[in-house]
This record gives sequence, structure tokens and C-alpha cells, in this order.
Amino acid sequence: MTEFIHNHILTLITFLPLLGGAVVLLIPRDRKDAIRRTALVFTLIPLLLAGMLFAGFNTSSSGFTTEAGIQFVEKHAWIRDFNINYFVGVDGLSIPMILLCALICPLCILASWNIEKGVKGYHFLFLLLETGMMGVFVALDFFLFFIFWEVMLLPMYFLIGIWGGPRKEYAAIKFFIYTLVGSVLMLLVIIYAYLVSTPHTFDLTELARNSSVLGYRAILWWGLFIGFAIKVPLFPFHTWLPDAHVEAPTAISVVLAGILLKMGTYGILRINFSLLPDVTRSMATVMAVIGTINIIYGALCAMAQKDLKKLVAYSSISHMGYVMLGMASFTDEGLNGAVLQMFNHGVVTAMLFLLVGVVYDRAHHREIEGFGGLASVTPNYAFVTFLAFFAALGLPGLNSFISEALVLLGAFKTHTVLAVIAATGVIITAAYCLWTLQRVFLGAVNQKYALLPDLTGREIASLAPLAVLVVVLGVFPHPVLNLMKSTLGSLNALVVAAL
Amino acid sequence: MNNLESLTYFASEGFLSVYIILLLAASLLIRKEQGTPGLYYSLGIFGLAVTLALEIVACATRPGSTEIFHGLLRSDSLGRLFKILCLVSGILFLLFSLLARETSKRFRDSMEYTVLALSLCLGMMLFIASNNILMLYLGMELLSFTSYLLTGFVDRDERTTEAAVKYLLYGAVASGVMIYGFSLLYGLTGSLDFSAIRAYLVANQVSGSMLFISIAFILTGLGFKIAAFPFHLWSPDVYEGAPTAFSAFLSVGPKAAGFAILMRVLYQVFGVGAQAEAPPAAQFDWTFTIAVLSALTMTVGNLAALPQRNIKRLLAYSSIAHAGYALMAVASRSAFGISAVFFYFAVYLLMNLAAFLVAIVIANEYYTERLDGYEGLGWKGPQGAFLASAMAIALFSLAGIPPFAGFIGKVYLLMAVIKKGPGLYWLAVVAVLNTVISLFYYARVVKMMFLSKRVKGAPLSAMTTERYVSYAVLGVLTFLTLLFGLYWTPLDSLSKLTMNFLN
Repeated sequence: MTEFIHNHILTLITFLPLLGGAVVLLIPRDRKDAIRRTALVFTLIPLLLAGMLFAGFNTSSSGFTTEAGIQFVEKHAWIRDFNINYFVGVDGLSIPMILLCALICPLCILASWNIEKGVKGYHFLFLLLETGMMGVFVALDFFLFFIFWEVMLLPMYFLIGIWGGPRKEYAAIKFFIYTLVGSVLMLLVIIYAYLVSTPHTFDLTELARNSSVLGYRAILWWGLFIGFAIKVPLFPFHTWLPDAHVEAPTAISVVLAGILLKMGTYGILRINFSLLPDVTRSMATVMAVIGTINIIYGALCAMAQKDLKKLVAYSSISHMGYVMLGMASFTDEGLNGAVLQMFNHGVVTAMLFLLVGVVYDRAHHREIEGFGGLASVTPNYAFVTFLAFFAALGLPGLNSFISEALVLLGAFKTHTVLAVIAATGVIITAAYCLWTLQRVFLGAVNQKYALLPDLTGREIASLAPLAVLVVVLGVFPHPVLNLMKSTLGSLNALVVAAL
Repeated sequence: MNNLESLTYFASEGFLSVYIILLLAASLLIRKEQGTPGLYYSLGIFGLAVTLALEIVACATRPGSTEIFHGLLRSDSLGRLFKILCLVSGILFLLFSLLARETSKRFRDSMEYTVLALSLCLGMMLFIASNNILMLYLGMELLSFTSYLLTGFVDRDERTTEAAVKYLLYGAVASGVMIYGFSLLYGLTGSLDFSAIRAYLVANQVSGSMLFISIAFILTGLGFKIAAFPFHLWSPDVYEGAPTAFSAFLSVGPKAAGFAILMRVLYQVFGVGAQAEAPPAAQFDWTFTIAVLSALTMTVGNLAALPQRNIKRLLAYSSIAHAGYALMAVASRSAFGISAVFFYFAVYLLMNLAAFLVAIVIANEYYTERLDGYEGLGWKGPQGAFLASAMAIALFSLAGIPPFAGFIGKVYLLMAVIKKGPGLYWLAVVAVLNTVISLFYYARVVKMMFLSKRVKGAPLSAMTTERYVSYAVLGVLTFLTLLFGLYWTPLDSLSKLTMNFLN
């Protein structure tokens, strides 16, 4: 049994949620609590398995393009005639993302407990979504990667479109179309890469090893980059994000910001970096500039928002800019900082969206100006929110500080001017975070909300793990950093050596 | 091969011809009042099923390419596989006719309808297998005339009549132009036989412009059959006016047949790119022509589908767009392109007929073909949820979203194009951008069914036997759409067989 689990751990993590979805479909639709509990169980098991993965992961193995650097590999022929394999494995780049995804999904099920309409469909789609997300992070076959990448779109479309806010239909189709534009370009690159490689292969490690066969490199790079940039989202492809985030139900916003956005940067690291290292290297400035624009532009937009959820959405754009800047620095610090920031932002932004959901459930609006003095009404809620916003603004001692500092440290070496500009983003971030806290929690108590109930047990359960992580990783980031260090080192070496 | 020997290669067509005559004779004996449509349709389905079985046996036992009946017809795997595809769609056509309200209960002329349907299938089979200009023309006319009749067969309203007349007029002009093109070709080469024409073109210098005109005219006729731009204008009106079951069939069977013969003519007569043949002057390069046609067809089809509010018109335009996608692989002028076209039509049959079947069930239930009839369908109990899910899967598959078979079909087509080399990369880009456009209108139907808050209209009525049959068929089609999206090796091995007609 243990042997079986050990050998198929990635498959189990990926497909157990799907199995859970099938189970959910079999439960009668009026037994809502049974459905919710089933969904919770089928997201907790992958979390448990991810814990085992974390424990069993050998942090010293490196080598990005070699199979030796990849652990827990499973490889089976899927379509022999096209040499498509079911090829999954983890390395230091994907394992933080898997942990993040496994952690956030059960919390989202908890946060969706108050969904009453179409409970069965909702949980089925959510579990399908988790399978898609996990699949993207474990897949090492380009075709498999693409299938998972697209499989995610369908549940997301329905989850936003059915359970979303007033403009849900617009937001859902906008999300779908944007992502599809990106992914069809990726598809062409995939097919091209397959056809020029000899023997034809979709194997990402093999393609990376023989990446010199690829022609039209700059075009390929842009084809992939735009596809991923839309997902991140990088300026100027970000306009779907505020709509989707604002209209989506709380748990889906959490998944969107916490996990889906990371897929963009993950894809750039996994595919652009390894398949086209030379182009990546030559695009360093472009990427760094885009990252800096994201930081500053996102922060300024966030400051201008009146809607709390929109503010958090724009802050995501800003924070993902740090990831981009770190990646573009091509230093070990920058790269480690970038991936750590992906993880940290996942944790922090998930918290923020959960918190927005909490207040929205009670007050049924999200106008920042509409509150006031909530700190005295709901002290526990205020405490957690302060923690989350402080983490978002990069307060030393909390997790984001470390990753942002690493990013800026790395960027300063190679893009000094941009790093300086980006650093001013920290100030803007502090400004909008503190200003928001002040408007919502401090000042005179808005009498309309004088009797607002504080956090419930379920809400605490969904927030507490994240809050603990924020603090623990703020003082002791090594568990996560150690995971990625050697893999990212070899990835960086690959890119730096390419030019 | 002489006529007597040829008969063994002709078992399925021969059986079908005899069966049609027997059925006609039988219809004289059975009085109309006694016969329910069910009986006739079952007889028709039985006949087609036996024909299909014979065809499958022939496909398995007679590999290789043989000219039969002194070169009038050709027995090869390309033809046989496309015939199988057409026969499957023919069987489903009769099944759908049984399920659709307009052609099932109180439909007095089901006998004639069935005989016409069988004749249409016979026409398709001859058309696909033809190896001679005359045979091609005869097959096509048999196919066309029965199509005109079936379009106007059910006297619903004035739209039906309009559709039938329009179809007839367009069709007559197109086949006239085509036969003129063929007569030019005959004049140039002095032969009606494809192989002989090919041999002449390879051996002799032929006037380029004359050949070009001839090809253009032939393409007009075939383009009409597959509803390619700019010969697509008939199809939305015909699809809308014809009985829904027949529209469903038109979008798959005759279209696939048209593609089969298009490839046969282009590859066999006007040169094969895949084989390293000495490039004579006659190696007229039609790649670019077809590529442009393909790009225009898919773009026009998709753009015109955007504002549609009638499900049949929407599917008609979508079917134009899909012809454009498939043309892309024809343009690749390679053996892989041929198998890609077959693969695409196999999955297109599944997903498109599933979409049409849902349209039939909804039309039966709510007497509407408008998209508003689908509002809130996903929330109308288990039946509604099943129908809406099946429809959503079919539509997303048509849009080419994984993990459905339509996506794999698109990958085949794109692969064929990209394999061809940099010259056609632009076509691949056009195609994927078209996929995005198409998502708009497919997703609009899905939006109606699931995202709309209002549940419009009455709940679905209780289950009947017909409903069970519809759902079973729908379930099978949907299951296969999903299965071939995840594991398509069986279909891949089949489609590979089409390639060997080139030897």
C-alpha cells in the first residue's frame, strides 16, 4: 500500500479530486452537507499526500533538464503513434506550487460552505478544477501540460459564470477568451516543436536538451510568452483580471489569484526558460520592464479602487510584477525570490480574498468607504486582516518581505534602475494597504455595522493555516527555499550560459 | 477488372441497390394506413446496417487499391472508410428522423422518405468510389437530386419550399459549371478516366491557363457540395428549412463525401505532393488556392455564425467553418493531410450530430429552434441537466477545447498544415484565431443553458420510449466525443489506412 502510494503519488494527487468529483455527482442533490464534506475529504487527501511529497522530496538533486533532477517520476505511453506520454514528475520548481495548490483547495471548500445554489455542480467543477491545476504543475509532457492547461478553463468558466456576481457572464467569457487566445498560440508552438524534433517528441525535458533544433526562436518565445503573460497577467494583458476576480465567488477568486496566476510565471520558467534560454536571456530587459510596470501600475490602480475586492485584484497584478522582475534578473537571489514570491503571494492573496469574502457575506457590499471602525466591532477579523495586509505590504517578519527583498536584491545587480523604480512600488503598496485598513477598520464606527458578527469557526479554520504560514515563513523561509534552491540554480545556470 | 469480377468488390453497393428496389416493391404491398413510420425507418436502418457491415468486411478483407468495372469505380481504403463514415451518418439520419417530431408521428410518406434516404446513401457511395468523370457526375447527381427532394419533403412552412428551390437552383448551376470544367479537362486530355487523365498530364505539356480554368470550374462544383466559401450561401437556408434530421445529415455525410472526392480529384488527377514525383508542368500547384479558400471559408463561416439566433442556422454556419478547417488539411497536400481529414470528419460526426440531436429534442419539446428556447435548460431537472451538458460538451468539442475529440481533430489538421512547412504557417495562425472567434457563439448557447438565471418555459415532459432512445444515442455520441479526446489510438489507426490510396 505505502509502496503503491509512493510510486503513484503524483497521479493520486492529481486525479483524486477528479474521483471526488465523480463521487459528488453520485450524491443526491438535496444532501448538500454530504456533498460539501465529500469535497472536503477529497481535497484533504491530496493535501496529506502533498505533505508526504514534501517529506520525501530530495532537496539536493538538481539538473533542470535531466531526468535525474526530477523526482517521483511516472511515465507511461499514452498515444504511442504520436509519442505522447503520461509523464509526470516534480522538481524544485513545481513542488512549491503543488504544496500551495494542495493547501489552498481545501480552504476554498471551507470558504464555499455557504454556497446554496447548485451545490453539486459547484463542487464537481471545483474538484475538476483542482485536477486541472495539479496536472499543470506535475506534467512534463508538453501535450499533457496543454490538456491540463485547457481543462482548467471549462470549470473556471462555469464557476465564474454561474456562481458569480452581477456581471458574471461578461467576466466569465472575457476570462475564457483571453486565456484561449494565449493558449491557441501555445498550441501552435507545441505542434511546431513536436514536428521539428527528431524523433518527434512532446517530452519537455528532451525538448529542453535538444532545444537547438527549434527555429524561429523569437517568434516561438513570444507565442509562449504571450500565452503565459495573459495568465499572470502581465501588462497590457491584465484587463480580464479585475473583472474575473470581482465577479467570481470568494473561493474562486482565491483559486484564481492564489494558484492560477502562478501558472503563468510557472509556464515561463518551465518552458520559455528551458526551451529557449538564449531568447529568454536576450529578453531580460523586456521582462524586467514589464515586471516593473506591473508593480507600479498595479499598485497605483489598487490605490484608486473603491471596491475592496478590486483593490485586492489589482494588488495581485502588482505583486506578480515582483515575480517577473526577479525572474528577469537571472541571479540566484532573484530567481529564488521570484518563486518564493509566487508561493507567498499565493498565501497572502488567498487570505485577502477570503477576508473580503467574509465581510461581503455580512455586509453584502464591498465599498471601502462604506465601512469604518470595524476594528472595535469585529476584533478577530480586524486582527487577521491587519496581518494579511501587513504581509501584503512587505512588513519585515512576515513572508512577503523575504521574497520581495530577494527579488529586489537580485534585480539590483542586473537592472539597477528598474530595481530602484520597483522599490518605490513598495511605498505605494504600503500607502494603499494602510489607507484601506484605516478606512475600513479605524475611525468612527459606522452604526449600520455596529452589530456585525465576528469570524465564525469555519472562517477561522480557513484562515488560520494561512495566517500561521505568513508568520512562520516570515521568520523561517528555509523549508520552502530549500526545496527550490538547487533546481533554480541549474535553471539559472542554463539561461545564463545560453548567451 | 471486368464487370463480373468487379461484383465481388461491389457487394455493399450491390446489396443496397437491390434492397432499395425490394423496398419499393414492398411499399406497393403494404397499405399506408398499416405502416407506421417506425416500420419503414427500421427497414431503412436495417438495410443501411447490412450495407455498413458488408462495407466493413470489404474494408478488412480487400486492402489495396483496385480499379473495378473497367475503371469506372475504384475500390480502395480511402473510399471504403469514407463510405463507412457516410453510412454511419445515414443510419443516424434515419434514427433521428424517427425521433424528430416533424418526421415521426402522423408522417404519411415515410416510405418514400426512407427510399430516398437509401438512394442518397447509394449516390454517396458511388460518388466517393468514382474513378471516372462520368461516374463522379452520376453519383453526385443521384446524391444531389435526392437531397433536393428530402429538403422539401416535409411541408412545414414556406421556408421549406424556399430552401428546396434555392438548393435546387444553386445545385444545378454548380453542377453545370463543374461539368463544363470536366469537359474542358476531357478536351485537354482526351479521357474520362482519372488514371488516364493523370498519365496524360504527366506525359504531355498542357496549357496552363486552360487547366487552371478547368480546375477552377471543378472546384466550384465540389466547393458547392462541401459548402466552401464562396459557394456556401445555400447552406444556412437549406439547413434551416429542411427537416432537422436531414440538416444534421447534410452537415456530415454529403460533406464528408464531398471531401473524399475532392481529395481524390486533387491528389489523383492533379498531382500528389507527398510523393516525390517528377514535377511536370501539369503539377499545377493548387496548395495556395485551397489554402486561401480554407482561410476564407472558416473566417466567413465563423463571423457569420456570430449574430445567429436560430440553432440550425448557427450550426449551419459552424459547419461551413468546419469545412474550412478540414480544407486546411487538404491544402497541406500530404498523405497525413488525408488521414487528418478523415479523422476530423469522424469526430465531427460525433459532436455535430450530438448537437443536432439536442436541437431535435428541444424542438420536439418546445416547438422552437430559437436560441432563447435553451434558456435555463441546465436547471430544468435531471433531464435538462443531461441535455444541456451533452450540448455543452458537443459545442466545446466543436470549438476545439480539450479534453474533447474536437480538439484532437484540430491538432491533426494543424499538424498537417505545420508539417507542410513555413509556406502555410499563416494558415495555422488563421485557424487558431478562428477557434477563438468560434468560441463566442458556441459559448453563447452554453451561457443560455447554464448561466442564465431565468428558467424559461415549462419543465421537460415525462420520459417516453422515444426520449429514452434519444438519450441513449446522445449518451453514446457524447461518450465517444469524450473518449476520443482522451484516447484516440483506435481512430488514428483507422485514419492511417486512408493514406494508402496514394500508392
